[in-house]
Amino acid sequence: MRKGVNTVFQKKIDEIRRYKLAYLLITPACIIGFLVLIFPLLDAIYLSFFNVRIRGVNTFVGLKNYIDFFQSDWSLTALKNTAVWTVCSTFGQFLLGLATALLLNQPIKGRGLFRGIALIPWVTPAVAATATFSWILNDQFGIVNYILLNLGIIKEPVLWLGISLAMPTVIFTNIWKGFPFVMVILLAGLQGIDKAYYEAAEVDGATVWQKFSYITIPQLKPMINVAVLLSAIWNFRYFTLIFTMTEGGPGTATEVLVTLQYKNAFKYLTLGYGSAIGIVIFAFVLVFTLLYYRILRETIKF
Amino acid sequence: MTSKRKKAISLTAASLVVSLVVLLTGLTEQALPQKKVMLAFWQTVEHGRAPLAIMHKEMIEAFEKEHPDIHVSLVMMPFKGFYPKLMTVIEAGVAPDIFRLGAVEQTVPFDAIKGMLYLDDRFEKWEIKDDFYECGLEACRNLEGKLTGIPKDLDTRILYYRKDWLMEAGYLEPPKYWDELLDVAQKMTRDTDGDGKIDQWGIGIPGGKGWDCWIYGQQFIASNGGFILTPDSRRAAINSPEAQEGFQFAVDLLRKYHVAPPGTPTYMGRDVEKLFVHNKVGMLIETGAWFLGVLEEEAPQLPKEGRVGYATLPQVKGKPPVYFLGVHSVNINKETPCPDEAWEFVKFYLSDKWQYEYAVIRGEPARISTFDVGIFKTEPYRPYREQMPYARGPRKTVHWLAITDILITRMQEALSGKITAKEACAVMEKEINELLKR
Repeated sequence: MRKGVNTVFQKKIDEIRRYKLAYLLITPACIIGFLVLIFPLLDAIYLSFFNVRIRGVNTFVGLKNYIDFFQSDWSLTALKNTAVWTVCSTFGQFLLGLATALLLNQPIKGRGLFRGIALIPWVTPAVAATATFSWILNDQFGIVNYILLNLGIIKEPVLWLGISLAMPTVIFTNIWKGFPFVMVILLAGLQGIDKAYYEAAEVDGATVWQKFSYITIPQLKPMINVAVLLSAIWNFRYFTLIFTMTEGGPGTATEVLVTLQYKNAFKYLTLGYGSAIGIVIFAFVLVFTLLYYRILRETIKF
Repeated sequence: MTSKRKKAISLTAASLVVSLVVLLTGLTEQALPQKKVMLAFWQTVEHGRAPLAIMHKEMIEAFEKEHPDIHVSLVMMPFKGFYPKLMTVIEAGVAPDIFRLGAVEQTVPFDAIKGMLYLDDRFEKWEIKDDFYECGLEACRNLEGKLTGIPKDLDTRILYYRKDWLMEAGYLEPPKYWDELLDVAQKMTRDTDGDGKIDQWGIGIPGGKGWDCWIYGQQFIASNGGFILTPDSRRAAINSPEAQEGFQFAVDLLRKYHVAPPGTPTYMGRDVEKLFVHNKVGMLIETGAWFLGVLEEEAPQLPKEGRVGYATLPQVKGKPPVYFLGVHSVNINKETPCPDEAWEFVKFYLSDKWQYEYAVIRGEPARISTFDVGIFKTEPYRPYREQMPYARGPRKTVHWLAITDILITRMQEALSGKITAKEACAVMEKEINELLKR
C-alpha cells in the first residue's frame, strides 16, 4: 500500500516536472483566484462567528449571528423576497429568452440587426437602466402613466414603485435586463439542432407544437439547464438593480438577502452579522447548485 | 528546457521587474512636489456639485499661495458609499489627512474606530472659537465630550410655501402650528382643472428610502418633545406617547388627511422639490437652504415674482420649539503625519471668506457672524437664523445608520398603509432594542 502511494506521488511529481512551465504560468492566476475568491470566503466564515469591531477587539459569539438572522422578521422577509425575486426573474428571463431565441432563429430579413438590438438590455449598465426605468415609471411625471391615463386604461396614476407593486416592477426590469443572456445560450443551442429532425417530423405530419415539444425542447434541454442554472445563481445574488432602484424599499417590499447583507456589512458596519448573511447566501447557492446538478446530471454536458 | 529558453524567460522577467520599478519611481516623483507637505482632503459631491468643486479648487489654490510649503490634494466623490470607503481606508491606515463627516450620525461611529484627532486644545486657542453655534459644536463632540471636528455647515429645514396659494387659502401669514399647517394644507389640496381628480396638494413629503424621510419623521417626533432613544442611548424611546403622537401626525398628513400626493412613499427629497417647482405642491417642510439654488435654476420666476415664502417650521402649541439639526464637519485623521498643517488648512477653510463661499453653496453657515454677511442677511435665510437657537441633533449612538434605516423603513410602511403608525412605533422599539443589544 505504501509502495502504491509512493508510486502515485512519484508520478505526480514527474508530471509536475514535465509540465513545469505550464504550472508556472497558471500559478499567478491561481494565487489571484485564491486571494480574490477563496481567502475572502474563508475570512467571511471566520468573521461570521464574531462580533466584529473595526480597530477594536472582536468578540467570539458562536452561532449568535446566524440565530439572530433566522429570528429576525426583517431577515425572514428578505429570505422570502429573495425566493420570489429569483424564481420569477429566472422564469421570466427563460420564457422571454426562449421566445426571442425562437424568433431570431427564423430566416428573416435583418436577422443580424435584430439580434444586435435584442442584446441592448444586457449591455446597458444597470445603473443607467434603473435610473431610466425609475423616471419612466414615476407616478406624476413618468411616460407610462401618461400614456395609460390618456388611453383611458387607468383612471389614476399607478404607483409602480409603491409598496404593492415595487417587487413586480423590479422583477419586470430584471427580466428585461437579463433575458438576452438566456437568449444567446438558447439561440446557440437552436442552431445546433439538426434540421433533419424537423424534416422527418414534417414528413410524418407533425404540427408546430409537436415539433416544438418533441424535437426542440428535448434537443435544447442541456442548454436550458445551463441557462436556468446560471440565471438562477445570477439572480439570487444580483445586487445592483434592486439597490439602485428601490434600496430594498418601500419598507421591506423589495428587501433581498444581498441588499440586507450590504447594509449590515458596509453601512451599519456590523461586519460579523453581515458576514453571516453572506455565508447564508453562499450556502443557499451551493445547495441549490449541487441539487440541481445532481438531478440533471445526465443532461448537463460541459 | 533548453538553456536558450531559460535565458529568454529570465531576461523577460528581469526586464518586467526593472520597468515596473522605474515606472513606479517615475510616477511617484512626478506626483509629489519636492520638499512639500502633502495633505489629502476628501469631500463629498452633494447639492451644488459644480459650484462646490470650483469653490474648493479656488480655496485650495488660495491656501497654497499663502502656504507655499503645503500641497493639498482634493478628492471629491459621490455621497453614496463615501462612509464605507472612508472607514475602509481608516482601518487600512491610509486615510486622508482631512475629511468631511456628517457629524450628527458619524461622530460616534468614527470615534469608535479612533479615526479622528481631538481638537479641543487647538480650538481653544483659535480666535474665532466663540463664533460657532454651540449646537454645531455639540454634534462634533464624542460621548466623552471631546471635540472631534469643526462644524462647517449646519442643516435645519424650513417651510417653503407658495404665497399666492396661501392667500387663496385665506391666510396672510404662514402656519405657525400643526393645526394651522393642516388647515392650510387641506385648503391647498384641490382639483384645479375640474376633472374630478386632485392634482394639487398642500404638502410635499419625502417618503422615499432616503435621508430626507428620516429627517421628516424625526422633525415631527422632536417637535412634540419625543426622542428616538433614552437619554443614555441604551434603549428605544420611540414608543413613548410624545414620539408616537409626532410620528402619527407625520403619517396622518398623507394617510388620513391626504394633503400629499399618493406617490409620497416613493419620493426622495429631489422628487418633492420637483413637485414644488412644477406647481404640484404648495408647501415643503423638509428642505434645506440648497433649495434656493434649485429654485433659481429651475423656476426663477417664482421667487422673482414674490410667489415663494420662507418660514420657520410649524411647531406644537404650548411646547417649546425644536428643530432637527444636521451638521457637516471637517475632521483631521488621528494618524496624520502633519496635524499642524492640517489644522492650518481647517482654519483657512473656515475663515470668513471661505466659510461664506462654502455656505452660499451648501446652505447654512456654521459660524454665527456669517449670517450677518451678504445673502445670509436676506429674507430666505431669516427662518434658518431664527431656528438656530432651538436646533438640536438626536442622542448619540454608534448605531445611527441602522436606526435611521429602521425609522425610514417603518415610516414608509406606515405611509403606504401597510401598518398603522402605532404598530410602526411598536415594531421600531423592538428592532432598535434588539440592535442596541448587538
